[in-house]
Amino acid sequence: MSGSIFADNNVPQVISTFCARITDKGIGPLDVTGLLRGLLISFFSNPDNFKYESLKERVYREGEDTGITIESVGKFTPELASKRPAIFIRRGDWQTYHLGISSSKIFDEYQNYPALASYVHTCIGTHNIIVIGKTYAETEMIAEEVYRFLLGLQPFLANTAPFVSFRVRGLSEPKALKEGRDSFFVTIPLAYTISDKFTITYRRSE
Amino acid sequence: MPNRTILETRESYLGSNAYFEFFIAQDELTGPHLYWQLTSEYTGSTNIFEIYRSLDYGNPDSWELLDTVTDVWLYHDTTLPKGIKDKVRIAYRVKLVRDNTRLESPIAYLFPRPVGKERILAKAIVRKAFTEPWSLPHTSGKLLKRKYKGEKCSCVDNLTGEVTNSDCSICKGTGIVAGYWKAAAEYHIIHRNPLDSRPAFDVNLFLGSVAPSEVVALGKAIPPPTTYDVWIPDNFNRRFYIVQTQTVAELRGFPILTALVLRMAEANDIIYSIDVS
Repeated sequence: MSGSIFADNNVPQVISTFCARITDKGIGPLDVTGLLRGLLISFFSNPDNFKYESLKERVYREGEDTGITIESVGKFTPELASKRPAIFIRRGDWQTYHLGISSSKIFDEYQNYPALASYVHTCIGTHNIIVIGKTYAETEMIAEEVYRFLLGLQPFLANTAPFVSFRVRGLSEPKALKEGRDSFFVTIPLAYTISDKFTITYRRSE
Repeated sequence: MPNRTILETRESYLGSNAYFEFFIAQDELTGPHLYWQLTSEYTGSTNIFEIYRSLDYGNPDSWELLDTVTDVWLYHDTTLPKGIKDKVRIAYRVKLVRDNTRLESPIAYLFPRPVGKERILAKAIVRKAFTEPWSLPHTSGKLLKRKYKGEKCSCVDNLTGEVTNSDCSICKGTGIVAGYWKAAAEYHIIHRNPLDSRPAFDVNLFLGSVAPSEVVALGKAIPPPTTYDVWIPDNFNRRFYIVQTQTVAELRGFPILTALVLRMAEANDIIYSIDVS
């Protein structure tokens, strides 16, 4: 694969917005959902990004006349009900990993003084990108576009966003859906590792 | 005089031969209607049909050319002389014009069969279906026939032959130029559930916002609806894909009633761009 992964160069802006949001509070599941939606909207807003000529009409636009729906699966959008093709972002499991010793302590210069110790919170999170299309081939093509776009972002995200790692785990087999003329869907599972370092602060009551 | 005895097979009832999947003539309130479907092998990119009628049991000298039509699958005969009492003598035939040759359909009689008790029985089956309590909500509409063969659209993938643009303005997401045969047949359905649909949220967190609309219905077997044909209600501005068909009543292989499952096309579907007025 060669060439730019984001022709309109919106991706850095999406990532900087994401970083600004999590600077103080740390990364949460909703933040990652928002990041992925922003990245996919950035990609599908410019038809020059598409490898397949037949997808040129599938350009994302705000509003009901969008060529493709890109939403968090939890958002209720009656005006876009059953509009296909669509890309939905759904969070999967988050699993916490305990690193270090004694409740994930990684630095303790003065033993037995928890306030001076540093701890780390490490989590392997997963998200699923669900691509739904109205024909088998169209679904496959859109899924491939998403898959290649996110694959290309892997090293970029690991360097610029606070992810220890970001992995596109694959592309599921297409399955049929009983809606409209019969739709099809493909799932793209993602896994990423996030790591927060924190300390414990004692506050004296007044 | 041609042999008008009851034929034993469904193929014979529906007027099938090497060129036509079926060819049917049916007397309706507004006059005789003809329905046909070409076999895959003989469906071309442009299909010209000549419509012939005989008022004398289909005897060779009695055929007259009524009309020439292109790319349609039905014909409404509005020129039948009034006052014909013996309608059993009326016969029709369609010829597919291909490279200066004429490929003939079988002869279809307006009142061929079933005869006698069978005809009464068929009427009773239809009457029963239409008078059961659940059949009260019925809606008039039109049936649009999908093309399966013909000139391939440019949106078809050159390796797999699959449709890559579901909203293609040329093929309407079918992969065949034009997508559907011209003209739509009158087709009424009895439906068990409402045609309307309201947006809902998929609580399984999979499909986002949806407008579920699966309609279970019953319709006549002629004209024969097939999977992915489109049904368009007359007084309701939505269109429905037929996604399942099953013959639920037949008489000696002749289909009488068809059970249908229909799904509403989403509001922006390309199917709404077809003009059937």
